[in-house]
Amino acid sequence: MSTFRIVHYLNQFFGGLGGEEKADAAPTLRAGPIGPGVLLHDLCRGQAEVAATVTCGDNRMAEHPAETLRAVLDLVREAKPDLLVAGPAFGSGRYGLACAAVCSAARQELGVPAVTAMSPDNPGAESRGAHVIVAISGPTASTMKADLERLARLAVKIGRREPLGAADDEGYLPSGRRVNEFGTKTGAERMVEMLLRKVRGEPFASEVVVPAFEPVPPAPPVRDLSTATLAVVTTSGLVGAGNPGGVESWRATKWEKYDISGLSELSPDAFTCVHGGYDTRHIRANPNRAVPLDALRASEREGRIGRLHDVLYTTVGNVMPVLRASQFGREIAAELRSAGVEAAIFTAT
Amino acid sequence: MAKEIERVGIPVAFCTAIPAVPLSVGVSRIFQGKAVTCLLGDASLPAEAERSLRARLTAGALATLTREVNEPTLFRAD
Repeated sequence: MSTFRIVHYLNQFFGGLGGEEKADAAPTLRAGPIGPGVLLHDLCRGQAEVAATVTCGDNRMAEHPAETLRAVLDLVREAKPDLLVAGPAFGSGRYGLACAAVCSAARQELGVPAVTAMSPDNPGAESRGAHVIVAISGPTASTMKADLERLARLAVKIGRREPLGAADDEGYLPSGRRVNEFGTKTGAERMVEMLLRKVRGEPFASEVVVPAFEPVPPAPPVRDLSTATLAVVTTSGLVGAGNPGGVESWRATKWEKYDISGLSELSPDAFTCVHGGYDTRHIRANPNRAVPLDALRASEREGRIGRLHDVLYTTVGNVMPVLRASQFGREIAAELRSAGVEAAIFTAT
Repeated sequence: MAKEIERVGIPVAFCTAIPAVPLSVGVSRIFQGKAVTCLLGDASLPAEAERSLRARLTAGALATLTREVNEPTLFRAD
């Protein structure tokens, strides 16, 4: 089988142009491998060749991203790659972001597969598109040889259009892609084996990645409810009759505000429920079951709370991605703060 | 969402029928509701009895706002 052409992207430092004083260097195209590309070329021997190298200063890419990326892509296209390799960027943030951007653009705009390498905590690793494979590297160039070996192995596989194994086995960052495979043991057997390894103090790896939730310190308690302004926020899917704002019944993309000043309770004629994740008939029959406005007004009348904020905040919590929930929360929190709200009742179903 | 509201210093009484979810996500003040389909009520009760149940649940949720907590804590109506 004939070899395929790799075009290698490097920053000014690894491209041999210079250090920070050359960080605004314009993109250039040179034939053959340079710097770490020489070893990459050797490691791919017989399978692929590093046919050309594109170098660009990190600051130039960071400060003028659109035009610089365009110029880099033009050079990459001119070099007719079968595969683009960028980096390794190690722990360098600007370089990592540049590698991720160049790989993503090569893939999307030129249709050229791309692979880069950087340390998992490099900001470029966060910014990459799902279609860019990122080989794991160390944080500094001291692990250059091992990192290039891993990168070369992945580059050859990707260049030859061979399927990649699992991220942990191949040494790349999880891409979020799930692949079905046949196992020889049932889930129950694997679970018991994992439990036994755990009990014996042996290493084991869960098959399910448990998301880590960032802790938020609890807000201090309200000193005196009888003088406090309270707001109600709900993810129960309560919306105005007819759902005028078109809130989706799952994966909602918006939250809404309703003026509840002057209402002593939520009437089923004025409110309905569009949550797609549970049987909503009890809520539709009596919306106070989701947002207890009747009971809260009574508390207000009896002086147990100071006053109820005039605005009800609502959305559908059904299958809401965590990132979006955080964004909605931040937006609503900003409104509550500027309205002088001191505490919130949050109803979730 | 509730955590972002707590983050700006506004305490949140998080009413839910499934406390396991906010406990795992890390919501501070969690109040046990009645049921997913009828969070603060009970459709099988006569209207007046349901209203007083809701008053009791709502009072319980409000009370959590005055409680000092250091970690995700589940409260129930008295």
